[in-house]
Amino acid sequence: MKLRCSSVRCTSCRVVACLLCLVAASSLCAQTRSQEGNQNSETPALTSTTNAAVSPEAAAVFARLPIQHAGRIKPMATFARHELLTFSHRSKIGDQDAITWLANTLLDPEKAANEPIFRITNDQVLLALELEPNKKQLYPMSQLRAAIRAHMGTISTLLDKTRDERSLVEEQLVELYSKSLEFMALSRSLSAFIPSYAIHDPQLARALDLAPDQPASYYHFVTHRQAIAALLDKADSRADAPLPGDAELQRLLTQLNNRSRETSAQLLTILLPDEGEAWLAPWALLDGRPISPTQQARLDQLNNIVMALAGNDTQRLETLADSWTSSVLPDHHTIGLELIFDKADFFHKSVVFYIAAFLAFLIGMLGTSPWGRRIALGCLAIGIALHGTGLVFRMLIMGRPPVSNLYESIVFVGFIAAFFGFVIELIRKDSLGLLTACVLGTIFQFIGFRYASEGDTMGMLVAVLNSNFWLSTHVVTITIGYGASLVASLVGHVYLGRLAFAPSNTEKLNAVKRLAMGTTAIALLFTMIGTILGGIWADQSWGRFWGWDPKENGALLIVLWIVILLHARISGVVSRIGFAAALSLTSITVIIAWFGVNLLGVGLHSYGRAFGIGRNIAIFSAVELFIVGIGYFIAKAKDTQLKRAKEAQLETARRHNDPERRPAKPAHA
Amino acid sequence: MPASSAQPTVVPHATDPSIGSGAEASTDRSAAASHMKNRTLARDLIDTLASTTLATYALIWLLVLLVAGTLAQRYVGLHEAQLRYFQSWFFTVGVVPLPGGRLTLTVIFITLLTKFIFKTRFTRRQLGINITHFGVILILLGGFVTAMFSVEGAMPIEEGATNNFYEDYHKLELAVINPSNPDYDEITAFSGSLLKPGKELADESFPGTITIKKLYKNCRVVSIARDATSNRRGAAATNELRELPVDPKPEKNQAGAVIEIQGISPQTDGVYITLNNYNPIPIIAHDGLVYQVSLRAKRYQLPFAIKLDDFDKQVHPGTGMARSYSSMVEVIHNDTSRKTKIWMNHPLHESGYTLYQSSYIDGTPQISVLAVVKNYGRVFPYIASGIMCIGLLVHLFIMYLDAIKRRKTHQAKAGGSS
Repeated sequence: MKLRCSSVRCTSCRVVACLLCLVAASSLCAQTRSQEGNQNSETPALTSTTNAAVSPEAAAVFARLPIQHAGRIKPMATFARHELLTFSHRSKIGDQDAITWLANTLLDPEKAANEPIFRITNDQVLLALELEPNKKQLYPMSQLRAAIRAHMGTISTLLDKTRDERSLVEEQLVELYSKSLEFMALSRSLSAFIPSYAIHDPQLARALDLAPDQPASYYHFVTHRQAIAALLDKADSRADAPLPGDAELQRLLTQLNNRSRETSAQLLTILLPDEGEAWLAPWALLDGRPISPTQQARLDQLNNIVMALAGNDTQRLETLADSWTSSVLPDHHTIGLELIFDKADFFHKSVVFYIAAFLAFLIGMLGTSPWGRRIALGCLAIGIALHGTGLVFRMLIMGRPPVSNLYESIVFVGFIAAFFGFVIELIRKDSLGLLTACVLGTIFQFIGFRYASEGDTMGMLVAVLNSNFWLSTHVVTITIGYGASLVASLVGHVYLGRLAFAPSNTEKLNAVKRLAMGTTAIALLFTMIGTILGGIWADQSWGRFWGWDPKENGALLIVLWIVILLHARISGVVSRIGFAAALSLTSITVIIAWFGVNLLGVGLHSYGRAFGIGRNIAIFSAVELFIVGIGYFIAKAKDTQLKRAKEAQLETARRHNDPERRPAKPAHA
Repeated sequence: MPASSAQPTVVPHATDPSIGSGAEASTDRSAAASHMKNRTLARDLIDTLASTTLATYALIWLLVLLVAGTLAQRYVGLHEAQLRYFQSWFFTVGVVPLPGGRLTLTVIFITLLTKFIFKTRFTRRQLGINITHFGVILILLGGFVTAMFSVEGAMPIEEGATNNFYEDYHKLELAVINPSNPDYDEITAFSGSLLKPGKELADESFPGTITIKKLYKNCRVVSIARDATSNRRGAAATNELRELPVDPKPEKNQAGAVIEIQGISPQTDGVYITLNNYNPIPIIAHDGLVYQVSLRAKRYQLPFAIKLDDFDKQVHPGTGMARSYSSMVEVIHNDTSRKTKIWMNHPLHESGYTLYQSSYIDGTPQISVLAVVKNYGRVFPYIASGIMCIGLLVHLFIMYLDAIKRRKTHQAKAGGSS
């Protein structure tokens, strides 16, 4: 039997060609198709010998390996969670945590393709792809791949459109398509190291340093390319009387050829480069380029790690991982901190304590014991401490101030609101601060979790934001301003509530009024300083202090609103009820300034994401307007009622002409 | 009598015997009355101007403008929305004129100033508020100076090139380049009110006249059939311009003009088209000189030149996301030059101008885009914001002291009663 590629005379060239030449040109998309085709027709599916799932212990060691992703070096655990969140919007899948899932996916891509991990919640997307809806809203890659292939025409037209031109469903279709590509690239990232090819012919196996039927990886054959070249030469020379091993060698080469198309699977950038800053994926070194001895050594090390991981050999894996990490990152690095941060999960724990504080407070209200409030205060303090510790960890890991993106601003505002509430509680001791802290702390942590479910929350910053000085002054101040304004708004609600339901209790009413004034003044201070610092940053980096840009206008919106509130009250344009209502509505201005301006997509500041935010803002504003509106009308009605009662009282007193019975002058707000 | 003694200036002495004094007295009376009237009028005016109510309504209107102006940016673009809502005295909705941002801010400024001069009570409780108000007056004043006198533009500059002008972001000019002097090109630029359709432009630096037939802020080029008998020349012979609606994003607009040149020679005279950011049109005069005419962004001269030695863009490793950009430049002043670096958040201050790293255009050679600003009001926000912060802090501190005092009296009372 004559070898198919024998027309090429130089055998070593031929091996390299057979193994590697196809790969450079093959795109991932083409790869998907051709693999499918191959599996169906020419060659049987590659046998994987790593069917045993990775143990949690081995996965935990794997989690410590460093990877460069989205511009920074992070532990594999963070990367795994980011990827799983991207596909499934969850940080766990079934009983597997993200890192175990990633390890299993990398070691057995075929099996992983049949696991339902793609979350599709929009029925329109399902209809467009003609997918059967299932209860869990999760679909496996294999099913998705078939659906995408069947509707590739539609998707191509969508890809030609710009983002602005796509509807929500269309955008989600495009997202799903790119996620499927990402999954393909991810799952095949270590496929070069998976032992998938068993040689049955004893002679051939021996020549390739293998025992008969012992599975070997693509990488094994790459390291034995000289031996293969020699074997090919020999096979060529006896083309007329081939040995049994020659046919198997031919089959092996075809299989290796197919695998070499996976070279575009370069998502797992875990190898240090010889030069430059960008790390390399294993396949990047296996695309036929000459490999330096250092890189060869690294690949060997990586091969051993994959073997140990596949064999669930935790002890060996631990030794290998440690020496790997110390060779890749010889300096002290924040990876350890990030692993602790991941494991400790400060933010989720803080919410538990916020809720506990709230419950303790409620239970305490039932009886007369002071312990309810004390326990609540204790829980709140622990919650705030955990919340703050989480923020400090993030600052240490990223080496920058606490707020630099939308997610961080949410977590930070939650912290500030809880902290202000706590301080108010310590001063006033009337449970108002306690309530504020628990409610705002919990709400913002939950909003934060929603945002965190979109992937890694520690992203890198675009050039203009990449300034620790301004991030720590302007951004932190304005974010504190948001928090303070929300606290003021909540106090406004309480004030309005008192005006509506207990307007005759003047002492408590005045206390709340003073608190409202105080928090409003603090909110004004921080939002104003924050806005001005923003102007100064703009002046320093763009050359103008103020440009009526949406984000600037948003910040000014809050400041103006608060200034109007104060002046309208002083000038008597609004009554105290109007003031309380308007103060309550400050929350809407904050939400609009904070999230709403990103919807416009114009101006230098537009760097947030928009889908879904608009609807949430609208719902929030409507609910808030409704609540405040009802409060306002009840308070107004009560006020008229009280006034009438007083007039009637005055009238009787005047009629009786009895100065002693005249009511005391009402304390004016 | 107490009643008359209370108003001695209004009630004259009716018992005065002299003859002329009656008239004198009556003049006196009317003068006093009008004086009084003027005073009350002035008082009323001051009261109205300095009233918190006026300030409140002006602030509410500013809020309305702010929201409208921000929303409008999505539809008409940042610049148009700014012009219409914030940099205007009036704008119209349908036929109804409404006060624009400038008028509103001016009203707020006058209110504050009047209040500050005539109505300020210098009490302990008002101290912080007065300081804050003074800061606001300063920041508005600074805004006025900036709006009136500042200039800004962009300076795109290739690696290795030297530049001593910057371009307006929005305004256009029609430049005529006269090459007759071997040492330098003489450039005449027509802009502002001269650059309008129908205008005939003539200057001694150009041998003919230029008539602007059409001027588009945004247009596209469409092919037309060549007509040998027409007087369309150059690209205009086979192309014409079609007007497009102005795009909210300035960089998406392609400005263009159709011009007619007359008075040079029958071969040269005719209709031409010129596009912003494209090569100038060559105009061959009868003496063989090749003049160049082009529509371009309005240019301003700088008193110094900038040479771009190197532009550097760094990305976050493994991504396409820019981490920083910087321009290594030489500042050339007559015969002296010095090297410096302009990068994000680190502008260059030179001869009253400030140059910022604004953006870049990828390619070979790379083009760095610097923003150039000259702003006389630049220092105001810095001082004003400091004053405002101090004012608010003082006010909060006084509020805090009062709260402590109140609590103490409260406690004392509670202690006394028990």
